Amino acid sequence: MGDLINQILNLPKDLPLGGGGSGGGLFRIGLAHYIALSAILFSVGALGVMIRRNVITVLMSVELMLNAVNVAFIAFNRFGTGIHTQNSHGQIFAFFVMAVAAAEAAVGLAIIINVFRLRETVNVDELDVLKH
Amino acid sequence: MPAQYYPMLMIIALAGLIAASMLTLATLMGPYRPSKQKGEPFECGSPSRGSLHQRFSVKFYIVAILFILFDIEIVFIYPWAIQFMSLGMLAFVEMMIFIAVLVAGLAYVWKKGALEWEE
Amino acid sequence: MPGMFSELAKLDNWSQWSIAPMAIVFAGAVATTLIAGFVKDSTRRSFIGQISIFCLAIAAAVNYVQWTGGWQDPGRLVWAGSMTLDYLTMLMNFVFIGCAILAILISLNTISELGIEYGEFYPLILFATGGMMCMVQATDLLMIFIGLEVMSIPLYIMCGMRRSQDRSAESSLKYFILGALAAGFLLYGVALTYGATGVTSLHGIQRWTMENGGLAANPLLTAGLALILAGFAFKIALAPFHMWTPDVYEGAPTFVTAFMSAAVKAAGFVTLFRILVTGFFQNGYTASLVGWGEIIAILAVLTMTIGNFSALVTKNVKRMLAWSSVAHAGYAAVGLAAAPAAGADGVGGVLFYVIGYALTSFVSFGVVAAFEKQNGGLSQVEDYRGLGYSQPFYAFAMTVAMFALAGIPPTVGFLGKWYVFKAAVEANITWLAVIGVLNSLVSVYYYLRVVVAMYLESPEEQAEQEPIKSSALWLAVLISTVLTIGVGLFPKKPLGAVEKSVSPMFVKK
Repeated sequence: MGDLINQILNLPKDLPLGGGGSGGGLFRIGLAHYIALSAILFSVGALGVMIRRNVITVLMSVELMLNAVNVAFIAFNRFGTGIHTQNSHGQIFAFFVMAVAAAEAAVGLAIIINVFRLRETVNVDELDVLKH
Repeated sequence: MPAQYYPMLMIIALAGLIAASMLTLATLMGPYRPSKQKGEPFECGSPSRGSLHQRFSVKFYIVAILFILFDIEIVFIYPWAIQFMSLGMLAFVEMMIFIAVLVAGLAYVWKKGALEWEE
Repeated sequence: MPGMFSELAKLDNWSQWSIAPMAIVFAGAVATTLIAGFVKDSTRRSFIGQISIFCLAIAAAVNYVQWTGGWQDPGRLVWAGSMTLDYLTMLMNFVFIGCAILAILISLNTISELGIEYGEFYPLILFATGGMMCMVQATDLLMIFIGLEVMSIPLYIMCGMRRSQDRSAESSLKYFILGALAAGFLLYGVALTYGATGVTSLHGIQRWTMENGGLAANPLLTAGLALILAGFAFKIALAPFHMWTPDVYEGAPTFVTAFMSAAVKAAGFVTLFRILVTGFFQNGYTASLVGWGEIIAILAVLTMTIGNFSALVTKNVKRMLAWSSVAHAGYAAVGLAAAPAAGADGVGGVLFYVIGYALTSFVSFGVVAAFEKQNGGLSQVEDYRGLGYSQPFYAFAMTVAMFALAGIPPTVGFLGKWYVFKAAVEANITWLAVIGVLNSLVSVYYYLRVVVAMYLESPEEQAEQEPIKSSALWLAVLISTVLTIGVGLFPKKPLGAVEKSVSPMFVKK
């Protein structure tokens, strides 16, 4: 599966897949596994934002998306693709994503509390005064 | 390629089999004597009374919001602190500006009374 | 330790100070936050507004010194290559500062009627303005992302500033959820781009793309660009990512709506074309790229058409203007779609268009704010009947705005459309220009409906209409109206500034 994803992602064949040499085959965790995990997490988060009706769950889904991004950043940074320079931009980016995620969560919670005080509901289907 | 996944498949199948058989055995062989006491949700012996949706004071939310805001800034301060000597004066000044902004935020929060627990 | 201060001395080569206007705005934001916290008296609110205007004026003055080349030659990368100081940045700094000042002027007279009894609006608008300045100045996807969030997060709050009003709270919640979703898409796009190229700086991406056979050779990079495009399409309300716009614009306080439709849209477009042109584009190299031009052309057609036809059936003036703002994002995107072939003309068209639209939207939303202030819930087109006689000044300004939005000369709206469509014809996508012109013709109907209502129809009951007394609001509407006509009549200088800003992006290096 790892090779397949590597082909899809067009990554070099000789990419160091990590794992420290312990075990082989299925249990050798490499970049492809992390990217697959990150893609799945991101999709779950995006789906959650779109289909869940409870605003708190939507907020959690947003956090899931941002954390999926962090997984991707750290994995790409660790396995150094692209121009193969060893920089730490990916890790730095992950720090900033964490900080922004916290700020977004704080503002989001405050907005949700305000809406709940006014409407006594956190169901997005019932928040529709602007449609009328 | 698929051959290397057979062990995984077997583990999944085995796990499902064990779980299913345990549930089946428990329902078939175990005694079933329901009572009112047993039907209650577990609550350490104390009677479970009160509304289903217990309201929490909004103060908890405010404290939680402020906590995550001020807590997360450590991700910037910590790397700076362990590299303090090699980063030098410019980084020190930058970090002091960063902390000053945080302190301004804290002063605002304090003055607004968001840290007061008792009204 | 000796020598530690020599690092500070490095700041003496003035290039590091190129972020000064942004830093001044942020310093003002922190200062006004503290003032808002420590000054309890709500009557001092306008005092905080005046301090904010003062900060913005200082930032504008510093920016002017930079524009005239007082400090250093522009165009260099500074702060480890994450920022630049080019004429585009400086021009946009003027635009953002101007937008913030106009929004504050409108707010000064209307904020208390809306029940916003606290001064926090002013620090928030300063933070948002600083975020925009950061976003436009950045040449690294990390700084662009931070700028975008520093811009967006205050806006989520500003939309909900009428805390006790359902519409405002809901508008803020909707904007927050969709904005966070957009940020997620944008970030995942950045992560994939980083995975493909190993860098986050736009120039690094460009170098990698040139050395490795273009976008088409790398599906990872293509997917990254697609996600970045989707994220920005949310922010600038390109269809099919526009659904939030009418709800959010209608529910937000009117001066916030004006600020969003003017400044946020301009910031989004400028950053988007900086990313596309600097990161994913090189002269003479477009043929092998997966054409983002074509993708944007399709989005532009969708956006124009959906925006205009939805505005056509909308009765509420503020909501109609929100739909019209969607349509105008579509017109500006026509110029962006032409950029791969028409180069500086396409991007210059976009820049001129968004600046012109920013002026016009302050006229239109300023007038809406004035009429709201006068009549409380005045909102439907029928409510505007007869205002041409009872409120001659504001009705005239509204007429100018409607003419500009419809693209009728001699307003800035006509020139903007002219340059954008001309670029499309130059780029051999005439069909797009034709669709744009047809859309403009459709839009004339609903814009002129407002003018007709104001001058040709009389209200059912002749209520006593007192002239609206609000000096700051009057000033804001006056300034933006004069500029809307003035730039339309004398476009030479503004066009020169736009030309100066975008042409360096297309110089072969």
